[in-house]
Amino acid sequence: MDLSDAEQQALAARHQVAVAQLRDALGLEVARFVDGEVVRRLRARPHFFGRMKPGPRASLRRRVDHDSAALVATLAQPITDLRVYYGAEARTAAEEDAGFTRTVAEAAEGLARRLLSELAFPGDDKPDRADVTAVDLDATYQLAFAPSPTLVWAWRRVRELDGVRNVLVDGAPAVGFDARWHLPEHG
Amino acid sequence: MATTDKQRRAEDEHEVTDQLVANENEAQAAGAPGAGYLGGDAQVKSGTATVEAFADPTAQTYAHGAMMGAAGAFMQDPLWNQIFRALWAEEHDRVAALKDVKAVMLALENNPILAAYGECKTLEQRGEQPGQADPKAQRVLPQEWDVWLDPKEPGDLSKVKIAHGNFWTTVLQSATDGQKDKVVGYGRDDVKHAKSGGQWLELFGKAVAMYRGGAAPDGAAAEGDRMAAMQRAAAATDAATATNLAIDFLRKENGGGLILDVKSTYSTPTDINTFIDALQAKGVHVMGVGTFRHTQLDGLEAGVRRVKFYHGITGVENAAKDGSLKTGDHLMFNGGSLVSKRGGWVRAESYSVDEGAFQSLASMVAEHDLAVGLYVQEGDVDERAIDVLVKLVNRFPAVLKDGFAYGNLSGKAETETTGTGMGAQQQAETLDKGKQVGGEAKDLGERAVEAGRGLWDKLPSW
Repeated sequence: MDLSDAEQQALAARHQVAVAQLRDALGLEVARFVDGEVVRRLRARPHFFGRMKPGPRASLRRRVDHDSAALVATLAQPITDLRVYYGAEARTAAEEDAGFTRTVAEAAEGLARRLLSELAFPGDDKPDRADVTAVDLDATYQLAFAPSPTLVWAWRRVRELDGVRNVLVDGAPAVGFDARWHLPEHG
Repeated sequence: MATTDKQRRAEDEHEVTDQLVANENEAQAAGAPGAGYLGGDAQVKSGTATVEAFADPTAQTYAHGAMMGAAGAFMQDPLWNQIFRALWAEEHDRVAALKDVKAVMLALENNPILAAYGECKTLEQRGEQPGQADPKAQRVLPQEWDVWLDPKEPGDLSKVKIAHGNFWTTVLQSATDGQKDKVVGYGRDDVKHAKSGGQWLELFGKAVAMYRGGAAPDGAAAEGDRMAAMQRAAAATDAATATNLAIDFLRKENGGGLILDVKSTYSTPTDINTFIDALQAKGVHVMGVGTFRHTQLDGLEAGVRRVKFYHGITGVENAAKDGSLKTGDHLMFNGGSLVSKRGGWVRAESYSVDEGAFQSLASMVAEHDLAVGLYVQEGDVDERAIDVLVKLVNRFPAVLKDGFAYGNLSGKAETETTGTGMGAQQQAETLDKGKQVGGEAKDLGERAVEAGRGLWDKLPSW
């Protein structure tokens, strides 16, 4: 089905907004998760935190922000790949959401784990002791990223717009709720 | 010599270990080339323990000191003992008389026959048959040369000396900036009488040829005749053939290479480039050049890693503070400076990685995108310190991108040495700590705090 220039521009603009919202939501979500995992452990480990010198502390604080932002930038490609993949597959929304969550969770948990281990946080099963200053070489951390409803909403919105665009590009009639809602200018 | 602590800790354990190692050596020799000779006369007291092995074989960056940490096991190996004696009798007899394993390690540091032993054993660890010693069948381990370049002809392999230099030689060569242009070490006996690069390659190649010869599949190398077979192999290997064989162990495509530890502080970057070119012309992969005198690295040719050596983590911290660390630098320091030793007289000794030191390292790596590698003084390190350092390398490949230049077989450690691995470098580390206490440099955190002062007056607006 042919779209007018105005209709194409309207769809592209909405797509752009949705992708930007997803990126912003992802940025907040990753930063919240990484910061939360680090801060929760620092609060629970006053001996450990008290021993950390200003240099490593400053580096950790900077990395929580910087590495989280960098991670979101590196997630752009896998998320794009995921959208392309789902565009060619007939999957339910729940399946798509699970795939998205898994992609983000692996990355966010990986970053949190890296920061915790490189800054020598003791494993979660170890007590906070004043007299133990050895790096825990077997440390393990319980990390479980769970996306907020806001992040899932942002992802779904992008996927809905992907779906509308794909239908129209294929020349199929723009019927259904998503098309009528996301491209009201058309028909 | 092992300390009282260590002697008391595990004398029984060591007696058992020594016996096991002796039995293992004899058992290996009985079925290995050269087994006809079992009368090694080395006096050294040495044992080998199993420790953590490198999860990624390339994390063992190179064989520090030509595998000097395996010197005790090498001297106790009847087969290799005989190869050593056959190729370099005078040196063999000198080392065989030594009882203290640390003294043996220092005597054999840079020894080409020990290096050949280390390579052959490493290849067997990686799946080759005893006596196969084929650098093309499995990945070999890069080597290190401590080099004293000839002041006038730095590209001449027959004139470069492969030697660490004894204590006074290195002190005299490096004591002050004023010495940097003076050729001290090259004129001192310990360096002057060391093997040249060309001789090193030839001896290495002949040692490998002997080892292979004893395992010749033609049946001639039967029990009792192996030594004769090895001698024939050595005789049939002329200097050029031996050199080419050695170079096969130093080729990039076989996983090999050389790290040059430039001891001749008088050598200019141009001198070093000339030497690199001479090695490359022969097919040797020059992986990198390392030195404590970092200005020697300026202007080195592309493709050769420039490695800044430091004594310990404190020296690296000071370099970060004074701005001499650059983004992307490759550096190596003694991993013992990350290790704490506890216990001793009352409690059992234990070794662990110090939390604060490691946090500092990880932070500097992140801030400066550093590629860091470790080494230790093999004569001053407990097997348990090796165990924790290899575990550290295995767990943190992103922090220790340049691995650990461990001078022993992966998964093995000498039991008759003790300490964190710092050895005499502890004095330099202590001096570096003194600079920090003296307030000559501020750490990253202090600088961050200073930069943040007055922030309440400069809150960002929306």
